[in-house]
Amino acid sequence: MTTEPRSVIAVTGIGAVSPWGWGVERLWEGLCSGKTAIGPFDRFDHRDHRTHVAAQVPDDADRFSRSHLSLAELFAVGAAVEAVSMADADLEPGEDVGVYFASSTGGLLEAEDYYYDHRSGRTPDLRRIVSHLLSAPGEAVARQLSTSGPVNTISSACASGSLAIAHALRALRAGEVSMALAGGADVLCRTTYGGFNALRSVDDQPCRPFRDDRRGLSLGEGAGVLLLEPLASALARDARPLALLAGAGSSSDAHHMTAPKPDGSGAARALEGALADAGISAESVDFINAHGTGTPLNDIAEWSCFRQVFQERAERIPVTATKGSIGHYLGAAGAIEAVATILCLQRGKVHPTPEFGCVDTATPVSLVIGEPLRLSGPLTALSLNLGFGGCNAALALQSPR
Amino acid sequence: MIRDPIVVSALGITDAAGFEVDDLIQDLTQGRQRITALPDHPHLFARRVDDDALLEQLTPRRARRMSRPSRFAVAAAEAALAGANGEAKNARLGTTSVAIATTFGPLAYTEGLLDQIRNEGATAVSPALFTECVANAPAAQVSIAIQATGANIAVCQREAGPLIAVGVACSEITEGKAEWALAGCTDEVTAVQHGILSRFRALSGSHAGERPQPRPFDRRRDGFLLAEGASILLCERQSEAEKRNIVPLVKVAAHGSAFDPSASRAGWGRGVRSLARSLVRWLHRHDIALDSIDLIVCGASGSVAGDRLEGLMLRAAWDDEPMPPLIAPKAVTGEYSGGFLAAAVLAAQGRWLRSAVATQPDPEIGVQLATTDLESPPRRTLVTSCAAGGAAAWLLLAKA
Repeated sequence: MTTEPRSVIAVTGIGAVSPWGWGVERLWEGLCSGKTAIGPFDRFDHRDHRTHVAAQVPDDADRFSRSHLSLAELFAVGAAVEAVSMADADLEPGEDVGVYFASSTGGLLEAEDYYYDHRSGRTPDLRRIVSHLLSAPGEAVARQLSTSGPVNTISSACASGSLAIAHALRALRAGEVSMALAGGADVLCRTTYGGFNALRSVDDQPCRPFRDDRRGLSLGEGAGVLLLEPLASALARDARPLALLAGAGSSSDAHHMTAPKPDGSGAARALEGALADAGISAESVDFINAHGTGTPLNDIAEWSCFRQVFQERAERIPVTATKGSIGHYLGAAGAIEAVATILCLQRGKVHPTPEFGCVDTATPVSLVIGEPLRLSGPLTALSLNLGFGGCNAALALQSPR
Repeated sequence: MIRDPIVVSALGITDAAGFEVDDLIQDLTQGRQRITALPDHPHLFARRVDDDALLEQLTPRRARRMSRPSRFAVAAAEAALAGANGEAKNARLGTTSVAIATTFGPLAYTEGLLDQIRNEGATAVSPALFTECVANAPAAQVSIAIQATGANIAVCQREAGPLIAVGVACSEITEGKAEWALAGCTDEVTAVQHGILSRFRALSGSHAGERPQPRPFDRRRDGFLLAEGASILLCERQSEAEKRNIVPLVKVAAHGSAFDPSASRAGWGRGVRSLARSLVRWLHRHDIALDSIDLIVCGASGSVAGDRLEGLMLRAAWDDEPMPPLIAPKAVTGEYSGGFLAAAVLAAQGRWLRSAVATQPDPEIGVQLATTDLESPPRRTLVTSCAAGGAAAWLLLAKA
C-alpha cells in the first residue's frame, strides 16, 4: 500500500509589529543591534505596580488615530497585511484561505478601561468593549482581507502562537485550505502586568535569559504573522519561499498551573514531536530560538529539555532568545519568534540576545550574545514555547531546499 | 469510507440540570430552562450551575484553587472518563490531548484581579487570581487533573468554539499525536458580562427587564438565554473503544469551519450565500449527500440576527431540496453553557429529537423546528453554529 506524500509547507510571507517598529525590517535591525527595546513605557498608568519596564510598540499617531480597531486588532492586521504583501499573494478565492491566530489578551486593554468606568458608576462607551474577546484579532485579519475560510483562535497562554502555526500546518497538509495566515497579537495591559508582578516573575530591569543574574521576564507587545502555503503552489505562482515549516510538536506537562516541570520532560516531548513530525534528527538542528523568558524556573527547565533532546551537543548548539530584545508577547510570543527564526534562516545569521551578564553555569547554553552569529548552508532551526498550565509547543523551520 | 473512524465514547457534563446526561435529556425533552436570578442581582437572569452540588462533585479542597469554568470543565472531564472504563483509563493515560473552548475565559477571576488593582493597588494582586484568569486555565486544570500529557489547546472562537474544539481533538487523533482526546467547552456567567450583553441587546428580555424567553427561529425572538456550564466528550478511534468493549455514542464523520467577513465585530453579517457555499463544499469534500442527513442540530439561540443568518444559510445550502428536521437545543440550554454540544451528541444518538418549546416560525427565515420525534434515530446529524463576529463551524455526527 502506498501513502500519498505529505505536502511540504512553505512560508512565503512574514509580517511583524514590534517594539522596534512596524515591519520585519525594523524588527531585524533591532534584533541584530544587540540592544534591547525593553524600557520605560506608558501604555497604561503603572505607577503603583512593582516594576516599571516593558517593551512597547512605538506610537504611530497616523495608524492609531485613523483606526477604529483595538490595539491588538491593529497590530494583527498590520502584520498580516505585510505578510500578504511580501508573499505577493492573491487571496482569491477567500474561502480557501484560513486564519489561525493566537492571543492571550485580545482587547483586554480596552476592556479594562470599560470595566473601570463601569466600577466608577459611569456608563462606559460600548466601543471599548466591542473587541474584548480573544478571537477579535484573528477575526479582524479575516475581515480586513475578506477571507472566508476557517478562522480559529487559540489561547493556550505563551504556547498559543506556536500552536496556532501548528494548527495552520495541519490544515494545509490536510488540504482544508490552500493558504493560511498564522500568527498572533497581544498588547500590554494591567491584568497581565499586575498578574506576572504578583507572581514575582517580572524583572525590574530588562530580562536576561539564561544569565546568572536573571530575575524574571519582561512583558512586550506586538504581532507576528506567517503566510503559509504548499511549496508546490508557491513555486507554481513564482513565489519565493522564505523558509519551510517542516514540523510541529506539542505537549502538556500536566504538572502545575504556573511552574514548568523542572526536569523539562514535557518541553522535550514537544521538541521531539516537532522533530519527528518534520522527519529530521536532533543532530541536524543548527540553532534554537529558546522560549528564554529569563525567569529562574523557565530557563532551568528549558536547559533540562535541551539536555534530553540534544544530549552532549546541548552545550554547543547555538541558542538565541528573542525575548531579551523585544520582551515576552505572551500569546503572540510563538508567532513573533517564528518570524525572528525565519529571518535568521533567510539571512544566514542567528540574531543575538542583548549583551547582559554571564551565562548561568546551571544553564550552560551556547547563547548568541551581542553580535549575530553567521551560519552557512541550508539551515534547520527549532523554536520553542512553554506556557502557563504546562502547555508546550515547538516548531521546526528550515531554509528552502 | 473511513476504516477506523473517530468516535465519541463518553460524555460528561456540568450543567444547571446536574451532572448526569439523563438530567439534561429531561430538561431538553420537557423544555425546562431552569432560569434563576444571579446572586445579588434579582433582575438578572441566567441558567446557572448549582455551586454547592459542584463542590460535592469535586470536593472543596480540590476546587479551592480553581475558577468556576475550571471546576465545570474538570468535573465534566472526570465524568466523561468515568464513563469510559476505569481500568483502561489508568493504563492509557499519557497519550491524551485536551481541546477545550471558552468564549469569555474565567471572567470572575479577571474581574476580581482588576478590582484588586483598583481598590487595593497593583501590589495587592493575588497570584492565585491571575493564574486562573488565563483562558487556558480550564484546559490546563483538566490536563493536570487527569495527567494528560498530549497537547493542551484552548480554543476561543465564540459560539463556534465548541465545534472547532471537537475538530481539533479529532485531528490530534487522526494525526497520531494522541490516542485519546478530551474535547468540549466551558464558560461562566457574571453580572458584568450580563450587563454588557444586555447593552448590546443580545439577551432575551433584558431590555424590557423581563425574564428571558429564548425562541430560536421564532418571529418573536428577542435574544438568547445566558447560561453556564461545561460539556466534555471523550474521543478516540473506534477500534480502541471496541478493544475495551465500549459502545460508542456517535461517530465524528467530519468537522469544518468558515468565516463571514461581512460580519461586524459584535454581530452577524449578511454572508448567507458565502457560508452556504462553504457548507456545501465541505459536505462534498467529505462525500456527504444532503439527502443523507436526517437531522440538523442548530446553534440558533433566539438571537435576532444570528438565527436569521443560520436559518437562511441552511435554506440556501439545501436550495430546492427538502430540509431534514431541525432542532435548536439552546432554547433550553441557553448560550455558552456547553449544553449545546452535549445536546447535539444526545440528538445524534436519538435520545432527544424534538423541540419542547413552542415556536411561531419567522416567515423571513422560513425554517421550522421539529415538534415531533423522528421515526428512528438519525443516520447522520449535521451540527451547525454561526458565531457573532463571523466564524461558523460544523460537525457531522453519524450513528455509531
